[in-house]
Amino acid sequence: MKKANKKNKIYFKPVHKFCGLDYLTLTNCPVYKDKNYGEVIDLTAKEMEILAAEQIVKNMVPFRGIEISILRNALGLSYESFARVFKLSAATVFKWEKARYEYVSLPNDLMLRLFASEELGCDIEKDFSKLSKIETPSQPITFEIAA
Amino acid sequence: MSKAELILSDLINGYYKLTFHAHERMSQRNITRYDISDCAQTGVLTFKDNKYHIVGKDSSGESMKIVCVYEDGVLIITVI
Repeated sequence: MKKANKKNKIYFKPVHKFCGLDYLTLTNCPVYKDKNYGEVIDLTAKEMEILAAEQIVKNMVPFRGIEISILRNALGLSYESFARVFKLSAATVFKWEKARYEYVSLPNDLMLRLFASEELGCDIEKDFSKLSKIETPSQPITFEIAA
Repeated sequence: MSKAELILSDLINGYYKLTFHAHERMSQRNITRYDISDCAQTGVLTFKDNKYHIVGKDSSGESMKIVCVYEDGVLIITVI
């Protein structure tokens, strides 16, 4: 994988709509300047997905198809492996992901969230009355990569 | 594995980088990583002007094009 070489000095700048999510901004994204192609984000698509998945889970963003795709890929699971965790068919997961901007039901959301928090090592709210009030973020979520 | 196969495989599996410009274009056109993956799976790769062009279909079946280079890894320059 192409890495910034010594000539390519890394600097940091915000990236909005991180991973295609309207509400997510990475404030200190590593970037370098390529002499032929301009500014390059010094993260692979896979690394970006892992960062986005952590923010989705930590910030209690409700799951739509797009968030489920990001989560599944961040965990490196195929449709079949991901579905097997929940004793579902791969077709069900495919259907969820295909409906990119549609929310899944609350029981499915909670099931996915618990699994994701465990796999990504993110602490989430355990109080059901709070968990059941998961809402689309009213404010953009901004986050930083730890130094 | 040929270079063409390697590029398509990296695009399908998310092992590529994006120029800032490509990330902005993707955001503007609601193109996600899954569209890139679908385009690489359905598309035809050609080499022109020192760049690889992959013309295929996104996840909703619309035509799309990825322009990238391979220099120690795949770098997507733009998506159309």
